[in-house]
Amino acid sequence: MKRRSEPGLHEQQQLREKILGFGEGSLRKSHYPELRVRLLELERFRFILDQIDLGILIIGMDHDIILDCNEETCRLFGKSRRDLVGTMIESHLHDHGWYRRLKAAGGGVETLPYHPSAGSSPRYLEAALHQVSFGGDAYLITITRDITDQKAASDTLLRTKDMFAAAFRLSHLPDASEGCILSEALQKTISLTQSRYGILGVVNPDTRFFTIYRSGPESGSRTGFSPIGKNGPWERILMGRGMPVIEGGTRMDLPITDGGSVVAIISLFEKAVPYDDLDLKQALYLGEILWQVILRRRAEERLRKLNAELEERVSRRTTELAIANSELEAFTYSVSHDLRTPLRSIDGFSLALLEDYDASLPPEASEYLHRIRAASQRMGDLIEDLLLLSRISRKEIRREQFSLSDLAAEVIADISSSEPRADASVHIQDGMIVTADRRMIRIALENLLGNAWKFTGGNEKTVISIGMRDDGITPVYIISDNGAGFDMAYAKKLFIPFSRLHAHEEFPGTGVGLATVSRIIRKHGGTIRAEAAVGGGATFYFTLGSKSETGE
Amino acid sequence: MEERIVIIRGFLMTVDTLRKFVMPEVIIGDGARRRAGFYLENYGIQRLLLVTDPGIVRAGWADEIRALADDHGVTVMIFSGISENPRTDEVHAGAEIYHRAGCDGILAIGGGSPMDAAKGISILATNGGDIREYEGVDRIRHMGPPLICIPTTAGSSADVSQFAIITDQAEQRKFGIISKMIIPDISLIDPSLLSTLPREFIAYSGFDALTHAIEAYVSTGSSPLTDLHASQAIRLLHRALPAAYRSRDDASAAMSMMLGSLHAGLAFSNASLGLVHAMGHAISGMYDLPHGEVNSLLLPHVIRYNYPASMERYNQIARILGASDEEIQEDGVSAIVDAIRRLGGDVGITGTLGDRGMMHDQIPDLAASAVLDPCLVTNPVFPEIEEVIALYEAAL
Repeated sequence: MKRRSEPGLHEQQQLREKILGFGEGSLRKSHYPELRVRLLELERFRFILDQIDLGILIIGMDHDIILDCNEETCRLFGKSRRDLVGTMIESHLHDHGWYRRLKAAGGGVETLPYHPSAGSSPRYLEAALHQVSFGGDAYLITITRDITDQKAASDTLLRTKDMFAAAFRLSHLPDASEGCILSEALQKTISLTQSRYGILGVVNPDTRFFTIYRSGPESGSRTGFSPIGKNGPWERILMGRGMPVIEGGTRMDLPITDGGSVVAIISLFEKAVPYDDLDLKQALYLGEILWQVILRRRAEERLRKLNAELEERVSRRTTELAIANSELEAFTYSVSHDLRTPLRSIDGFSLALLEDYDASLPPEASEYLHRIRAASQRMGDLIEDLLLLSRISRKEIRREQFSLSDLAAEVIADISSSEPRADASVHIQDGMIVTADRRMIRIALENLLGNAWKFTGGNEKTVISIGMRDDGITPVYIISDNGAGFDMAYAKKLFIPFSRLHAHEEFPGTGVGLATVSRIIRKHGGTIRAEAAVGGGATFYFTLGSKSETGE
Repeated sequence: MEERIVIIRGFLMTVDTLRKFVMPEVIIGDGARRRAGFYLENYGIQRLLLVTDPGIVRAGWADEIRALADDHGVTVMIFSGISENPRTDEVHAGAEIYHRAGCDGILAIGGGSPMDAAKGISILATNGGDIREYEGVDRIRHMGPPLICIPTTAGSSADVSQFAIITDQAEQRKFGIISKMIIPDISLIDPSLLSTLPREFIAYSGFDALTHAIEAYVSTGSSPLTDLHASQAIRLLHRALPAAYRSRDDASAAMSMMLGSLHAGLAFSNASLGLVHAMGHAISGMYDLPHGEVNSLLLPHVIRYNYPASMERYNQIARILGASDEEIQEDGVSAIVDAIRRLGGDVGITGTLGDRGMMHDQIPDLAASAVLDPCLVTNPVFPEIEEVIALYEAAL
C-alpha cells in the first residue's frame, strides 16, 4: 500500500536536520546582522542630518529637554552636541517667547532676529516647530535655518521696487513746483533709507548759498537759506570732489552731481540700524533721478516760455494782417462800387451822344464813341468781377451736400444755350456728390466751364469732360477741354487777378475769373492747379478739402 | 520493518552526528515571576502585549504583571482571548492588537496555550502574513520581538521549547510550528503559580512532561546533553507527581514538578519527540481533549511498538521509574509499561481513549494525519500507516 505522501529518505533527513536546529533559519538565528544593518542605516541617517544646513532639534514634550540635535544646530548655537543634549532648550535661547508660543500653538513657524556676537550685524533664523510622537512618547522637533541671506535678498528686492516707485513718482509730478519736487524727493529718500529725518541743500547758481529743504519730526518740512561757509560737512563734500560720507552709521551725506560739480547735497539721519551700501546706492540713484527731473523741468519751463512768446507774436501779427486785409477788401469794394456810377455816366452819355448826334458826327467820332462805350462796358465787367471776388473773399462758406454732376450739367446747359455750338460733346461723370457751398461752387464751375467753352471756340469739335479721381481721402475733380491751352511757363500767373494769357481780342475776359475760382477753392480748404500745352487743351484739377474735413 | 530501522539508523549514524542545544535564559524559583518588570526594562519594552487566558486573569496574575509593568513605565495591552487549544484566528487577533497598539514586546503567562499563541503572534509581528504559512519546520525568517514566558503549569514546557502547536479550526486539525526562532527569550519559572492549578491538570501536565522526557530520551535526535535532561526529568516527575497531585500546598513537590517540566522541555526541544506526539497531535486536532491526558493514554501502546528498536533506553527509563532489574530482565516492555500505568493510577489517569470519546471510524483519518507529523522523523521506528492504525485501535 502506497502512503498518501510518504516523505522520501532525503526529505526525512532534511526534516531531521531542521528539527535538530541545523535548518537555515535556526542557524541564522541572530539579531546581530539585522542590528548591524539598522545601525548602519542610523549612521547614514545621522550623516545626512549632519550634512543638511537645517538645524534640527528633538525635544522631550514634557520636560523641554534637548534629546538630540544635528551638527548644524551646534553651529547655530555655537555649542557642542554634548553641551546641548540633555539640557533644557530654553537655557540656550536669548528669547524663548517663540518656543513657548509655538509649543502652545501645537506647531508653527516664526522668524527670529539674533546677534551672533555683540556689535555684529543681525542675522535671521526661521524656526519651525512640529509635534511628533513615536515609541509612545510625544516630542517636539524644531527645524531652524538661517534665512539672513534670503531675507536680505528679498528686502533688497522690496527696497529696489520702492526705489523705482519713488523715482517714477518723482518723474511724474507734472504740475508740481520745483520746491515741491525737492521736498517730495527728500521725503522719499528718507523713507527708502528708513532714516528719521533728513536735509536737502541745493547749491544756488551764485554758489554762495544753499537752498535748504528740511523734513523731520520737529516741524515738518520747511525751507530756508544757508550761506556756504568753510568747514561744515557739506563744505567738505564740496571740497572733496563729491565723495559721499557715512559717519558712524548714524548719518549719511551724499552729493548730487551734474557734470562733475556738486549741485546739491542730501543728509540723512538716525536710521535704526547702521546705514549700509544699499542705502547709499539707493539715495544716490534717487538723487540722480531727482536732478534729471529738475533739469528736465527747467528745460521744459524755458521751452514753455519761448512757445508762449512765439504764439503771442504770431497772434499779434495775424490780427494786424486781418485788419490790413479787411481794410484792403473794404477799400477794393468801395472803390469798385464807387467806380460804377461815373462809369455808367460815361457809357450813358456816350450812348446819348450816339443816339442824338450820330448823323451830325463825323464817322470817325462815332467810331471813337463806340470804342469809349466798349471800353467802359469792359471796365464795368471788370468792376463786377472785382466786386464778386471781393464778396467771395468776405463771405463765410456754408457747406451743404449736393450733386456736383447735376450742377455741372446745369452750368453747361446755361452756357450752351447762351452760346450755342454745333459740334460739342460734354462728358459729366455721374454721382459726384460734394459737401460744399453750392453757390460758390456754381460760380467756380461757371468760370471753369465757361473758360473751357470759350477756349474751345476755335475748334471744329468741342470736347469737355468733368470727372473725379478718388483716393479715399481727398477726391480730386478734373475738368479738361481740347481747347487752346496755354504755355505752362505762365501757369503760376494763372490764378493771380488781372493776369491774362491770351489777347482780349482772341479770347475776351477780365482776368479775374480764375482768381475767383482759386479763392473759392481755397476757402473750401482745397487746392487747384492746371496742366496744359499751347494748342493741346487744358486740364484743371481741384479739391474741396479732405473727406474728414467735409464730413463725408 | 527491521530493514528500515537499520537503514535509518545506519544513515543517521554516518551522516547525522552533529547535535545542537538551544535554551532560553531561565530563572526558576519562588517569586521568579516578579522579575518580569526587570526584563521588560532589559529588553527596552515600552508597550507590552500580555497574552494570557481568562483563568489567569481571574486568578489575578495578569493584574500583578500589569502592576509590575506600570512600575517600570510600561504600557500593557492584555489579550486574553485564548482557548484551551490556541486557534489561528486568535493568533491573528492578537497580532492585530499588537500592531494596532504599537507594541514592542510580548509576555505570555499561562499554560501551553497562551504561550503557543504568543509565539504565533511573535512570528506574525515581524514576518507578517497568515500563521498557517509557517506550519512545519524552520519556516521562519525573521526573529520576533522579545518574548517573556511565565508558565503556570508544569507540562507544556512551551516556555523553553522550539514548538508551537496551533489549531486550524476551519480544517479541524492541529499543526506544529517548529523553529529555534520561536524559543522565548526568558522563562520565569515560578512554582508558586502551581498552587491554584486544579488537581487533574497537575496530573495531565505532569504526564505531558513525562511523555516529553521519555520521547526525547528514545529520540533518534537525542544526545548526551538531552539525555541528561530527559533522565533527570523522568526522575523528578516520577517522584514529585503523586505528591503534587495529593497536595497542592507541597512547595517542594511543586518545585520538583516545575524543574522536571523544565528538564523535559530542554530535552525534547533539542532532541525532538516521537510517535506519541505525532498520534496525540492528530487526536487533539479532532477532539478537544487535554494534551497531557491524550499522551498518557497513548504512551504505553507506543512504548510496546517502539521497544524493540530502543530496548536499552526503554530499560533505562524503566529503571528510573523504579522497576527492578529482575522485572526488566524478565519482560522489559511490561516493566516500563506497568511502571507508567502505576504512576497513572496514582494520579487518577485510567481508562482508554475510547472512554474519552474517540470514535473507531475516525482512526484512518487520525493515522493519515499522524504519519505526516514532523515528530515522527525522530521516532526510533518509522511506522507504516497500518501500524499507526493498529496502535490507535489498541488505545481505543
